[in-house]
Amino acid sequence: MTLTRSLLMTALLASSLSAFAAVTEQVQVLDGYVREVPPTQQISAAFMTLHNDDMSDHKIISATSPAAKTVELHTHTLDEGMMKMRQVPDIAIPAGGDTFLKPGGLHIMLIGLTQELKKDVPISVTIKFEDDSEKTLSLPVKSVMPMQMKH
Amino acid sequence: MKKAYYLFALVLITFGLVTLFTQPWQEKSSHAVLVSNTAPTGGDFTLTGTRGKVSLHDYAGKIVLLYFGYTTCPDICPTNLGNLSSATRLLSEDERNQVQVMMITVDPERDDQLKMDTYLPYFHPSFQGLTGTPEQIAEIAKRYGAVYQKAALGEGALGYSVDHSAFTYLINAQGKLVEQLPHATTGEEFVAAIRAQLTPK
Ligand SMILES: [Cu+2]
Repeated sequence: MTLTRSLLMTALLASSLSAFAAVTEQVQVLDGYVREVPPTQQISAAFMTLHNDDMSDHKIISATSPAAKTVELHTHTLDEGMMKMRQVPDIAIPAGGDTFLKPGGLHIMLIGLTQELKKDVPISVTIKFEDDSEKTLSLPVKSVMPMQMKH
Repeated sequence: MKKAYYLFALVLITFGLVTLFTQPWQEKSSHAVLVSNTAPTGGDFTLTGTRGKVSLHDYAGKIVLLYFGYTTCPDICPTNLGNLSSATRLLSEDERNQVQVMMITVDPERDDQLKMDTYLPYFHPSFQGLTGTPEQIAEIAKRYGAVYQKAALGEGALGYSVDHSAFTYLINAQGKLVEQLPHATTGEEFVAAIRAQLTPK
């Protein structure tokens, strides 16, 4: 009797804990990076894989970075034969699933760079979830070229 | 003991499926939509490059890879130019001497020659950037089947972006448009397409 009750209590406690845990604790960010850009380029994009450990869906509602004047959530769609980049209100991460931010698709757009993007100098990007909890990431800068320049 | 094998197999299968569904072919499956139903004719053109007037026929005898893009393009152009850069560096010196990569801007209002000359060498010092009047560029784009239009960019921090088709046009040594390669064609795929055009000596 007492055992069942204490088990029930534990289960209740666990579920309420997960219900009250900040979304940022339920979402993991993997393989994040910011794309290195040609000199004088004023814009770049951050890419990453988002994993949702939770049993409920979550979403990113905004992002900020000291490296850019404006940060927006964007996606690319292929429409009328053109690659169209558009702002999106949020980026959903399904319960127990992954969302991929990658070239040609969803990305966090850095507009009006305030610092030069250099290899080996990580860029700080803060993502905000639907409950206003935040996660600050330190993302490496990666070149689009798979190989190093040699000439 | 047997259980461990089953578990291992399960992990392998799961990994395989995950890999399968997260690979770039997902992006590529949408390429078919891009193929236009009327074959573009291509043909000669004259625009402005680093050292003045540049015509396609100046490169007769070379294979030209032509791309339509713009320098403030955040993602699509860097992907394709990065892959063209990889391709260029994968070629032998002899092969490289028979190939010219060029980008025509679809944003002539903002892309002056200085911007083009700052942007393209980042990918490879041999890459040519071409500009012209909006009318000249529109006429050439039409012949090659490239389409583009301005689009508002978010809160206007950057003014606008340009929606554009993202093919790379392969032009043979005789100046004839022979193939259009889709967005995100890899360096290796570009190399294969180039080598198919290079006649063995
Ligand atoms: Cu964007």
